[in-house]
Amino acid sequence: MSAPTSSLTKLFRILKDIASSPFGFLGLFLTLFWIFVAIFAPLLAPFSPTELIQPLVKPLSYTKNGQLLILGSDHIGRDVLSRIIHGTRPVLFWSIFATFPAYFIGSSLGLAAGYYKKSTDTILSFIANLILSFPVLVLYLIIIVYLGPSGSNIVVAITFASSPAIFRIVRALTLDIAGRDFINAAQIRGESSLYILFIEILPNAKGPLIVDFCLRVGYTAITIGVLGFLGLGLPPPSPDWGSMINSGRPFALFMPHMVIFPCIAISSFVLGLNLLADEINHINSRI
Amino acid sequence: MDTQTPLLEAKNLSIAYSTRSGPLNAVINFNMTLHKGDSIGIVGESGCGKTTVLLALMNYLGKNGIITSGDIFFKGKSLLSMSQQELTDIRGNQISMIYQEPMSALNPCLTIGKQLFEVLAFHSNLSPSEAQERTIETLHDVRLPEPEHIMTCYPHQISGGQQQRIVIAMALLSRPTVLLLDEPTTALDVTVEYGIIKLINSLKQKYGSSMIYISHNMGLIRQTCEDLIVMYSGHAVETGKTKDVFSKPSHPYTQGLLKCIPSPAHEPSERPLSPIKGQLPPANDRPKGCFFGPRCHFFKEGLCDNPNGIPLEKTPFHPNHFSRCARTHELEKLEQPPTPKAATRASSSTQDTHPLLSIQNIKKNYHVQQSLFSSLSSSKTKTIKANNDISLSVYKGQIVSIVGESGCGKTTLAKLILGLEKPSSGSISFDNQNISDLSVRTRDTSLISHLQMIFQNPNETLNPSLSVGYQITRAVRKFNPQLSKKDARKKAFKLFDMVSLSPQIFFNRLPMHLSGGQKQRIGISRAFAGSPSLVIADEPVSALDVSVQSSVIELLHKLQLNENCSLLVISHDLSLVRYLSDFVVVMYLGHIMESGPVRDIFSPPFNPYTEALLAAVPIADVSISKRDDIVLEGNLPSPFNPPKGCPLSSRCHRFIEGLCDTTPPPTQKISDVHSITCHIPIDTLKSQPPIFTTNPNQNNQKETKS
Amino acid sequence: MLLFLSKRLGLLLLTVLATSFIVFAVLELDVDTVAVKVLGGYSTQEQRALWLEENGYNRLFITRYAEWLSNFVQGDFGYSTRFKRPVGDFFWNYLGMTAILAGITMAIVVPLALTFGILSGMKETSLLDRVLSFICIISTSVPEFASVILFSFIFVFTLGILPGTSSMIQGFSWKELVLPVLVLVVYDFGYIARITRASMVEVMHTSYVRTAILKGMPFKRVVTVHALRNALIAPVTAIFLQFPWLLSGVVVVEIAFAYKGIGHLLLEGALYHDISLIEMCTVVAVIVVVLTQLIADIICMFLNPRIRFS
Repeated sequence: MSAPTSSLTKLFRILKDIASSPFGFLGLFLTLFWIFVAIFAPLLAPFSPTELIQPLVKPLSYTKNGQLLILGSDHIGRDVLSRIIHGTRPVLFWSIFATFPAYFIGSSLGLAAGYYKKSTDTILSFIANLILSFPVLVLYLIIIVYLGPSGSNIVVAITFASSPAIFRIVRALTLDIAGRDFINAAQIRGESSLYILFIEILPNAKGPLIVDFCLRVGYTAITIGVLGFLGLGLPPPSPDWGSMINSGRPFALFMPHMVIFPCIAISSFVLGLNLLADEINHINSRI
Repeated sequence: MDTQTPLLEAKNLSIAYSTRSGPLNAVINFNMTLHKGDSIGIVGESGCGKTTVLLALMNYLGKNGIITSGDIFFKGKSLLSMSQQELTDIRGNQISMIYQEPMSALNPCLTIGKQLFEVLAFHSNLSPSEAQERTIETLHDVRLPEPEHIMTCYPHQISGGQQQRIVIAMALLSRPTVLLLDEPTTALDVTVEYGIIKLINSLKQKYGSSMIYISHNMGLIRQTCEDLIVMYSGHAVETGKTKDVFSKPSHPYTQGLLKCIPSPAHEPSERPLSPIKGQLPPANDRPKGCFFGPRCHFFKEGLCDNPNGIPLEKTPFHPNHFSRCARTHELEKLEQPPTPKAATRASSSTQDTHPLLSIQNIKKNYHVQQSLFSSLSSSKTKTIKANNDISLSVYKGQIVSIVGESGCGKTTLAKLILGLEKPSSGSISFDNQNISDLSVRTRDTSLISHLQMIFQNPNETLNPSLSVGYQITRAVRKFNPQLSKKDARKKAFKLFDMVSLSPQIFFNRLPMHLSGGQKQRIGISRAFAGSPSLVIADEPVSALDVSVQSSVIELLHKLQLNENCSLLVISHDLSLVRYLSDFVVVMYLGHIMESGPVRDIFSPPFNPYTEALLAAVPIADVSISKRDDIVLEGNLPSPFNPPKGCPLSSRCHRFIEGLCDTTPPPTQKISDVHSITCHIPIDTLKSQPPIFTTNPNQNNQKETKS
Repeated sequence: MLLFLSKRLGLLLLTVLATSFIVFAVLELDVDTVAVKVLGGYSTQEQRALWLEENGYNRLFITRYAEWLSNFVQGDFGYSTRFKRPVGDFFWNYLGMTAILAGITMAIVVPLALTFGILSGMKETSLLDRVLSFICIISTSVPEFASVILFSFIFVFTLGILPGTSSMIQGFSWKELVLPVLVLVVYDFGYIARITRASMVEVMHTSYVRTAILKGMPFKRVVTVHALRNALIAPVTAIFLQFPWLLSGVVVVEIAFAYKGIGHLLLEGALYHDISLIEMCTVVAVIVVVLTQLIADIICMFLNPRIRFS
């Protein structure tokens, strides 16, 4: 039994387990669907997201040149469907990768606080609570306004705002795990603190962290959408969903398709992640 | 209701749990009849189905429990066909239950008074003042001091023993006809347990309730129940009067169980343990015929593997004594399995002049800070004296046991020796090296590998996310840095063999795929990865089932002899201690009460605490009678506020007022090696009769119930 | 108990102080950018230097912070460059508007979410539970800006029964409050309901609930007396932790419906680099958050005797 096949079969078994409940299946389907769309965006999109075809075409209508625009076009004539498909890329990319630094910082400090306790914990927890007492959007606004809207600045903002929450989760898990006998066993065979933190403790916290990851990617996608909606999103021409909604809002009255479809896209993506998180949580608690 | 109708009757009851991988049969074809005044004990190891039976008797099996066949009758009426309303009327009124973990059985957000009151409010027509009166009377009956005050408390404000008395009072309030007890003392200390058992026995007489008592402890059942059902893997394998079953066990499983229990009344050489081989079959993969077959010494092909199953048959000894064994009638004539040779231990305690481990006047205080702010005003910190002037020595090849109940400071002592904590004062030397100030981080590899530990809880001793093979190899490499990867793996394989687990099967498994006993074996092998000279074993078997316990004890014994290392065993279980050790130290509230060679500890003179501990041990062996006049009253004092004078003075049955509660007791030497810390003169202590008396004639033994 | 409270209060003050310091440092540590923001990008180097000198910006940072803090405590919140008025003159009106919005929202969300959570957690995996859970998970998945669009589309464009903006130019109007409140309720209640459900499910599995059932208590009493109080401890904390979220959520709704609350001020302040306004908004937001946490702690203390009597 070699390691790679066993971990692949394990992954397969977990996916099968998730898909065996209807909600889990829906969550998995929606999530994988959007990941698939993001990966194959150029192949799936009928047009370029920036190509000006014909303004304000209604869904399922033909242009003068006889091209079918399934979801219609926007006020300057770009195909809404193509923009949504291409929009998956920045949204998924930034919402997934913006959470990584937050996990790195949040888990490292959480492990340290939960393991060393005492003053390390007091100080780190105080700082975490300090950041957490800023309303999230206030934090984003200050950071984005000061640094300017761009993908990497979104990462900075998300890292800053999410790390304390992750810190809290990891700290609580570490406090629990560090009291178990196998940690004592590692201590009395003279293992280094780094080994204990990252090999003995961290893997045992992965269950709740995976659940949190799914939820957090969803929230991050919403946040990026909100920033786009407020006009602080990724700079054009990158077609992120929030910005599409923002630019389409003045036309929403008579051309609702320009805003409704991006709304459905982001809602279904977040719904998929939430359902997935719920189901994984369910499976975790059963073991 | 005529007297012939039994109170509670289970007929051909089978219960299954529906799981994702299909239904699991938890109880198969179970029969039981409870008449008025009966007391039935159901005994068995974890997973045998006893708790399921008990919950079914209340028709409460949760969402996924299904009664697949059979029925349960309460006073002749089927419980399974009752409406929700009828069930609600019976539960807590006619049938009540006493639970395993009193802390979690009580609602943390409601006062005790409220939780007691509602029973009467829903099940009786008593007026509030009558209800109040009844409640106070019942609290008096369970011997709780100041009932009026306790009723205003929340559960977390009282001790574990008191909580259990509340749970008992709650069950008794409505004067039920049937009382169900689900391991009511498992979460409690031995001396507290003994008090509860005596209480249950006296209440049984006073209220005349019938009861069903489930436990894994045969000794407790012997003290409380007239009738006995032994369960194994969902089957009742033996039923009968408790005294008949214990004096003439007729099923090989019952016989095996009784032989697994170490006896505090015998020298280990008189009564060697013989473990049951193998382990409980999983509920979805039971063997054909007799479920005990694969573990049974008397297994006979073509007879015991009858695919139609083995019926419960009358034994030749008593008309009401049944056994589910195909060979019941010939069992007595068959050759018994060979009793393993008693471990012959050279008592090496005095061979060496220099101890391997020497602890001198160790003290350890913990300062508990109330909060950030009170730490600024340093006067408010409270001090717990976890260890108070402890001295002891362990010689090479010796097994020393530290005995005591929770809070006695035995685990703190282990931490001090291992360098996880630093002593407040005193010295610890190991192999002539002072290690008291060496924390585990500053110890070198050789010292670390010579001083290892075995942990109590098999579920916590191994990291659940790493394979057991990796964990053992890691320990091997840590203790023997010179070994190559390949050699370390080889050595790890050897360690697996040493604890009788096949490395081919187990090496790559995660801990969750191992049974409790197997996990404990892996934990033991890890401690022996670096050829240790002293291994500390913290309650090494207390979390294991009886049949597994004895094989792990055997393993420890064997390893200790083969590796010629010393063992420091920490335990609350005196039977285990007598079986395992050369030298015993008895601790209470951070103080050493008595220390001496094992033989001296188990015979007079006793320190009153040792005496009480011994008297509290439940004994299953019908050939042993026990004194029952010694009970420690009350609860363990708060560690923040220990009694002045002798630590035991608040609970001692030999308490001398004006002396014990004011002056710390002197340590009196009985011999070079045996000493007792007590105010009472040695001669008085010497005149005490022994706790246990052996009665070789088993058939007319005397019951030792209160 | 008093000790516990005073400790919390001390921590609260410390937090507010620390956050105000951070905000001040972020916004005013670099004096040159302050000058640029106040005087605009086209001001000359000399003008800026003069302005900085006149307004005492060349003093030590700590001195400036101390002065700002003492002014702040005395009610002088600085001058808004965007509104060309002292911040204190208009801020409280906006805050009041947000308070109305948040208050009405919470008054609807809390009972609704608790009912949903309790009903669904009381009988896990029942049909009712599945339906309610799905509604809640949709509620948490749809971002506010999406529900703004959706509800506007339904109630404003299609049905035409509600106004599309809530600027309240002609004075206070309940009708204009409906849509903002609706969006916030939908955005918020799912989360609290889910926490309540999780807590309820956990409590229904505890031994003490089993004790209550086997004591022969009717199911209704088991739920209302034995389970509920324990199950409320977690949601209470969650409800009050919702305030930072609600304050953020308010920004989107206020912008979308042109509602004149502090979310509006915050975005204006941020977009126009109005330093005093941002400082005011942030500090007030932090005070609100910290105060709500204190209230949550006090309520928890009354729900949970283990904290009350320790």
